[in-house]
Amino acid sequence: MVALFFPDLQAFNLVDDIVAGTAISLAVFAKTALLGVFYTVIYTLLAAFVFYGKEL
Amino acid sequence: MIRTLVVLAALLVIGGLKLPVESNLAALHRQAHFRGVEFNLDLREKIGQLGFIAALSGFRAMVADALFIQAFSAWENTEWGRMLLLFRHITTLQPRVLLFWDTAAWHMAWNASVAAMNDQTQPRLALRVKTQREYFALGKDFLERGIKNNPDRPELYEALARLYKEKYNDHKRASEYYAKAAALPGAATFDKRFSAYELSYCEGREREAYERLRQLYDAGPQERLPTLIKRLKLLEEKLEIPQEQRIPETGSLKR
Repeated sequence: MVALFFPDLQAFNLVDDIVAGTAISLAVFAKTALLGVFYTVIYTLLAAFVFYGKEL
Repeated sequence: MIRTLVVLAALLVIGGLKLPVESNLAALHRQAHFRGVEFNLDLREKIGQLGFIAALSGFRAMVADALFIQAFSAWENTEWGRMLLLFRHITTLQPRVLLFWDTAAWHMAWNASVAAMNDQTQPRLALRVKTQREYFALGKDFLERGIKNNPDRPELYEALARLYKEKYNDHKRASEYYAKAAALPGAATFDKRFSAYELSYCEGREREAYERLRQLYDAGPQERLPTLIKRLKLLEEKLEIPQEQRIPETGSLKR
């Protein structure tokens, strides 16, 4: 259930492997970037929908 | 209220859509050997609460580096047991850094083993030898686990070959591991040669070693190094290779 509702942010945690010298392939980079864009758009839209018109 | 329900329903639908994409990406990461560290209770016990929190917060590399510095201090004080523990934590945190595996194995199989052998507090030679062999085994274990975590890198295969050669005097295994290293991309040019050298010391495999050394010799002047020529000549004598098939006596060292 948690995986259904929340984004998997571990997908973006590649810094330790990059530090270790592991090369990031273009496919992995592109997919991760696309997933990032997808998360940003979807969760922003849903948040906007929930809070639209509300006095914050 | 309705809005919240709509959003929850939308999240469920989107969640169902994103799960396959996320698992596909996770599989890609595993393929590329990312996410090699499991953050579980075992790791928490090993590195302590603060270290675990730091590692979980994306400072895994920094925690490993800090422990590496501690391990260096432990080495200065010849605290071999502490070093072993620290290197186990370090390699758990950063399994893709070859330096950590290699250094851990070197400390155990070379430094700690020699210290154990020269231990003045232990008068019994048998016990000193036993401890020494235990440190060899610890070094081997580090390298084997390092290879398991980094099967695509030749450096640890080389290190294991060196350990078999220098500590176990096992030339057969040394030859095997040099050959494995040589087969990987980015391997040093000497790996193939070293594999043949080690094979030339193996009883009963002289013919195979001769053929491999001869193949290297025939590959060109860049391979005709003094050790290769020396081993080749020894094998020619041992195998009684006909004179006309032998490498020239003089000029063989010419490049």
